[in-house]
Amino acid sequence: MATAEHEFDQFYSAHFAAVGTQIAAYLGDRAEAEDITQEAFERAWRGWSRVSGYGDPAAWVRTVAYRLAISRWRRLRVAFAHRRRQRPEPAPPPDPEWLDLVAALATLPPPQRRAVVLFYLGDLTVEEIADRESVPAGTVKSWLHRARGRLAVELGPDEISSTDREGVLREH
Amino acid sequence: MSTDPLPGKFATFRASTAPAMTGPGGAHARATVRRQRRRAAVVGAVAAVLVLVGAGAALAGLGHRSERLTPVTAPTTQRPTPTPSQEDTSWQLAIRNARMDLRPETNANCGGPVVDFRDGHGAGSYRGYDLNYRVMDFNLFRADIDRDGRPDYLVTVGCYSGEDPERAECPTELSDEACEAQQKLAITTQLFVLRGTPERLTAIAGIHAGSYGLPPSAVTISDDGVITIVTHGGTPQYTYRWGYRNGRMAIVARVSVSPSPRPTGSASPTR
Repeated sequence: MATAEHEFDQFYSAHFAAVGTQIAAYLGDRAEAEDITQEAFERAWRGWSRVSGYGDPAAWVRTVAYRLAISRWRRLRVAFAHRRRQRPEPAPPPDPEWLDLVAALATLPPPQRRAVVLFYLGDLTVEEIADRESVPAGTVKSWLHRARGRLAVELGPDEISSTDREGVLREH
Repeated sequence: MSTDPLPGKFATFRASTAPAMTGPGGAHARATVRRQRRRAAVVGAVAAVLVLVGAGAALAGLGHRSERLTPVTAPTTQRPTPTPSQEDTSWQLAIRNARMDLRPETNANCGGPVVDFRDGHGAGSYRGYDLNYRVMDFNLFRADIDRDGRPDYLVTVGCYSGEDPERAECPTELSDEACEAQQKLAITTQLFVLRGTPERLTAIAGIHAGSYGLPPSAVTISDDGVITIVTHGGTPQYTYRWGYRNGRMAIVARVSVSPSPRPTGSASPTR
């Protein structure tokens, strides 16, 4: 019979990379993303008897991770709390494509950046993003449209043109 | 057929990021929560004692606002490594008034733009945040780390946003020592290797982001430029060696030690 610890460890293994990758794109910092994601999973464990009963515990962890990322003070606090315990090694230097993308994402206002990351990395639909962000679906479409326009400028004006997989976005 | 390149770019991003995004593990998360719960229980017990002591003092007519309450369990604080001797202080003074280009280290918690320091203080904007920087007066070294025959610098840079944490007010129930510890914990620190001269230094790598309140137990540099860092307290405690290899700083050895030895701290500039 699986114990709560075993269930949590399996949950952690199944979802840590996905959440951490999204936060890394949002923050542009892999090390900090790992710290924040770890903090989010720790909070999940703290309330595991409740969180494990949710329809989508991973969505709960992702929401907590994004909130931590948004909060600047929490980011600084989480960073030193984790680094004093583990991970003395610096992360390997990112490749140029990685840098280009995170630099382009960094030019977006936070809501647009979150929408883009949730859409392309989190594989959420517009409606799911709207629900998560507590805004109308039309607002999310607007964010994504503006973000694509901005990213087109940052990543190369001739690279982004057509519609996405759901046909939601218009040509810029 | 869609020609949107963003799915491809994000797929590449995911492929390059996700495999390394493993985290310390579920067991580590559970252990952290366990430690935090134990600490909260201790703090709660101490707070309860403080309330009782305060109430007792007030009843005894000793309720002066200037009276400091000392927790039953005195918090331990780590003292920073003392600065080197006076006959070798000129370069330290220059470092405290240096121009540092922190931009090359992109994976840093105290990263930043080009920062001009005056008397150890500077400011800059990093990723949309206005940060205040400090050249910390511990773990500050000069040595030929990249083995090019010219001196480099290992500098502990502190950073924070907003008000100086050391000027922030603490709750009145905290002792001076506990207040100081809390203030120092709010200053993030990071070790940087910098090349060049104090007029223009360039960061080539950063490591060991931590806080002023919990600096490494010891940092030394050997004659061949290899940096040895012993992490602060805790179990396990790590000793790792950081050296210049193949054009970049890299971890050359890492050892975990348990239980944690008493921190000693050391500062031994080689030049």
